Amino acid sequence: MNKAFAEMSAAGDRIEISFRYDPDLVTCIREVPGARFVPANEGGPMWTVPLTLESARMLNKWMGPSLVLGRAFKQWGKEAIDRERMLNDLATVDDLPADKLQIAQTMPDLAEWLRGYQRADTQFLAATSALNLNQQRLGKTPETIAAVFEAGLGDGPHLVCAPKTSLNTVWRFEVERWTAKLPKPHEVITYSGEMSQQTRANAIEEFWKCIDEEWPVWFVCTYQTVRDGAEPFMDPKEFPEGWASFTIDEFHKSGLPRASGKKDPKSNSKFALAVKEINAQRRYALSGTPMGGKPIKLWGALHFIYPRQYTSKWQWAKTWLQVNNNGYGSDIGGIQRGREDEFYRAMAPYVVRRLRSEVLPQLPPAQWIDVWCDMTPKQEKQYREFAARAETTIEELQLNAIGILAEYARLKVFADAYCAEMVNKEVNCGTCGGSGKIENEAGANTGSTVSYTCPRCLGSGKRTIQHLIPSTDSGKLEALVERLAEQGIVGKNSAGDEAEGESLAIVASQFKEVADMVHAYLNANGIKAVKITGDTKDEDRTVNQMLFREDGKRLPDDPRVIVMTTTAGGVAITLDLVENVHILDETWVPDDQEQLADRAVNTSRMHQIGVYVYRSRNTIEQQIAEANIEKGKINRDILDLRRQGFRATIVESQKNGKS
Amino acid sequence: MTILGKKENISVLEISRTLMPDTTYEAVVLELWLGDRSDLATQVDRYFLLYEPEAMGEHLYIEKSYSGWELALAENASNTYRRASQVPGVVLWDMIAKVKESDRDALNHQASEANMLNPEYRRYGYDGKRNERYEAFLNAIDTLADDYDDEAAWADVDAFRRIYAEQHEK
Repeated sequence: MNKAFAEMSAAGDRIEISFRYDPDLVTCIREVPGARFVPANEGGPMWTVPLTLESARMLNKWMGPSLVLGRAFKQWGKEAIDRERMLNDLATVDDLPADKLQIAQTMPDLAEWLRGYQRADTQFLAATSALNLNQQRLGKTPETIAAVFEAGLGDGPHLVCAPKTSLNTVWRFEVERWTAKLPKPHEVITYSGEMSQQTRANAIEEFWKCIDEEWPVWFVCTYQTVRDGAEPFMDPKEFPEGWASFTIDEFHKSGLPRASGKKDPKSNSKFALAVKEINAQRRYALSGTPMGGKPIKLWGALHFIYPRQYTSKWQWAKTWLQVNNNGYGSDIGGIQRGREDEFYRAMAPYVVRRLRSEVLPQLPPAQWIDVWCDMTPKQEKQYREFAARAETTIEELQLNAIGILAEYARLKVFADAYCAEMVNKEVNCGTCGGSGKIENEAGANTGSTVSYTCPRCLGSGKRTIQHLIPSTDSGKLEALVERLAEQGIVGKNSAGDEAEGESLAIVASQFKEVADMVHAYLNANGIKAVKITGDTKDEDRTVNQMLFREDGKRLPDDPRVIVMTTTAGGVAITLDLVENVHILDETWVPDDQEQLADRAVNTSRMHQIGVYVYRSRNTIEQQIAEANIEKGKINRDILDLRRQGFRATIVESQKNGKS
Repeated sequence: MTILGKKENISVLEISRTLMPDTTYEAVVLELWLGDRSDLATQVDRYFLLYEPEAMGEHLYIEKSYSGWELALAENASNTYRRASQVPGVVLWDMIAKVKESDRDALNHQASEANMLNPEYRRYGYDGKRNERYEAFLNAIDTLADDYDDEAAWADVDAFRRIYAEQHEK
């Protein structure tokens, strides 16, 4: 093999490899994902690969003895390896004393309040932009706030993008709590599209005032605000100073998992494109359930924190994941067999991940209980009829994925309860906006547009949506009432049973209509229940929530059941007095159920949570259960088992002085 | 009749040869490529030849032209390419498959380098200077592999790496 010369590019983002043409070297370089040829008229002939430790390791693996390293590349490699070691060392610290943090001087209350593992995470997050994937209820928010100060970026401004429900209850509360004693207590501005126009205008004015006066400010907004990018401070030209930190909370709910890295808005999520434009010194992406059983969903967040390193989604997928041709396109699966440890090693410098069972082993794990229910005869007859019809519709109309899911969703409602009413409602087609035609720009340069018939409504501009109204004729309802009675939650008019104890319960369904029905049924049968769905006003949501929180003021006669929709109750809600969670129907993503169950976790209270998952026998719910077991296994294997193995290796090598 | 490459770097691999039943024709399927078959830059083509053995000589020669693979009856046939139909005895000569596609980037690398290192093509001005520095740069890589501290070699490396930037600074 000829000799090859590897040097860093002038822009500092690629490794340039030059050599006298050699077929073997070309074959080697093609093994490195993202390899590109640079022709003579652009400074070549040479090849380039992304400037990452991963690429460097692959070059070394394939071309090792033939490589001559440039001086700048050598220096970069040394620093990158030192940094990786430092981050690996930090990532394996489980307990850090408060005085080891810089903020022990400036914010002693926060440094003391943080648990040992949180201080260790703070130190790690202060050193690098990263994903914080700690399990729910382990305090990711205070860790992030502490890390920002630990990194010396406390003066801000800071941008936080989070679910609407957490803007005030989580972020405002935590930032104000920890910065109140500082010489300049931080200003927190919350912002969402649901605020009145005047309130939004005031918020913007206040933000600019803080910037002008150099007052530390946190701008906490919804994903929608960032996606629209209408505000001037989202535009790097209008706000060149940029943000000191940019955090995306619960990023699995944002558009990041759908990011493709492409510039074309038609093939990338708008949210991912918008965050790319925002200029920030430090970036954090937070989620306790980041993957939903699909490791590719991590790429968007990695691209968000290090866009120059994680440049191509497909390149990343082909490096680490199983990519199969399904005849129509490519399917991305789990981690390539045999590369799991390498994968975690590559991720470790950018990820913090801890489980409750690791840091709080004294906390009993939630007990998941399957409740298999028989449908009532009427319910079963209806289910079978619609199942047969759905099968025919899917086959005959060759529905796309969305259509198939809609059919499945309908079946799930029938598996919940007999639907006495089905209301057909004609609505404007969302795809074409009711016009029946879709206009598309023919070319960026010509500016001309072409229009074609909307494939969703076939040009009519209208679509019929069928609303299913579930009745109380349900096999699950009976099982639910039985379980509630076992927990001492009974109606005043229940014959024989007496209300006992103080245990509280969450009852959740994916469907608002089912939640409404259960809520009405429980109240009608003397079991006092409150409700949180997408329709619940903010004030009512807070009031209802406080009845089930340790820091709320409960009276003995207050409702003992809170009925919720899985999505409305999934994030940013604390219901830590609850002891049992009843999930009436699972979604296709096991993380949704986990998020819901974690609402009841209280890390300072030793209590066992029971999670009851209700499924109707011989229905679609059986398939969902099987799919979720598989997805859950991928989540555990990738996020946890391999990580634990990797940590054990690092800790062992540290003990042996090899780190 | 044997089929041979007109130049040494042409490879000919006969896949099958059959006398067509009840005719006077012979059919040959063969693969053709230039240089090293395992090189990513190399394209391998599969051709089909149908000819009348009676009308042919002892050898048939194959040459590469810009438009594909051409046939000639003699090794010293002129470089004026002949259409297959002009070769007496050949009934059909057609490409039937691309067995291996060439990697365009590898091909580009190979061709650019051959061009830049060929003194016959060396001109004055930017291209000439660049090509000279490129040659010195490649030699410097070999030198540095033996002696990493050879400052003269580093100077050659820097000189070539700088030239494109300098050109675009003007």
